Amino acid sequence: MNGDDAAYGELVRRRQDAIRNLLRRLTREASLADDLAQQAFIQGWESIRTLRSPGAFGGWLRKLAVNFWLQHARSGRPEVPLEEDLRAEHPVSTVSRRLDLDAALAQLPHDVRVCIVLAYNEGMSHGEISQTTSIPLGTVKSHIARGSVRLRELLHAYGDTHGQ
Amino acid sequence: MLTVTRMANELDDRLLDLFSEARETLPSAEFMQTFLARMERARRVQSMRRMALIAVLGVLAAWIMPSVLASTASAVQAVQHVVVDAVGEQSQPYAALIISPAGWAVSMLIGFLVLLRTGALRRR
Repeated sequence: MNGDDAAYGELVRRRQDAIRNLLRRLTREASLADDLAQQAFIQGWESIRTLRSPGAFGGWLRKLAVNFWLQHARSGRPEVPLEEDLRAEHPVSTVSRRLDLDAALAQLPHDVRVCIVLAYNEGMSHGEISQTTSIPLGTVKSHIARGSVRLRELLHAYGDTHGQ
Repeated sequence: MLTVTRMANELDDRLLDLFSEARETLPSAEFMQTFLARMERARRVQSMRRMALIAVLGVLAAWIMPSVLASTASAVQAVQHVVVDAVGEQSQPYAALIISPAGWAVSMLIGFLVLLRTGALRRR
């Protein structure tokens, strides 16, 4: 491994947690999330020369990860069912709430889900989400507004089911 | 007193808390091991692709080069003929002038001025 690769490896080590968490909210499947994260990091390594400003690395990488997920989601592959066994092991806990959140997110259409996750998980503004996803700004705003309402309804339903 | 006002992006506080709770610290060792192996594989593929491209370019160059050289040589030859003919025609009166006594004298004068200008005649 040369010096550049070692430096890139260090960048990946620092960013992997954030990118994997983002993809886990989007995919609901840990192994798929990690695979997409790997693909995004490899793509980043191959095209890092196109990055103009080193300060933009985090956002650029996040955009790559989101694009990989959107490609995967639009390819029409079915999503995995909720990990019921894991849910049963942790009836009312952080894990349970996380599973509820991920299950509720999975009910949202792809474009709505990505807008919601980028807003709530990443703290991105509407404009940044629009730039990252190439979804028009007005659509991003309505996706977040309507998606938030839908997500609350779904989580309320899950809460009722699981006695929260 | 500092007050925080929410500006453009109104977000639901309960959902913000849920997303914040859902964030986990993930073990990195296995992920990094897989990533480094994939990067190594991608690098091998990249260098093989580069070598294949160089080989293809080499074969193409070897295949095209003879015809390129032949056409270049004939073009240069044609241009050379045209230039030599034109220079020959144009330089005949000047050639007669240069080999005349006046021409010699002017040439000597010019040569002397050049030597003077360059300081070659100066004593060291």
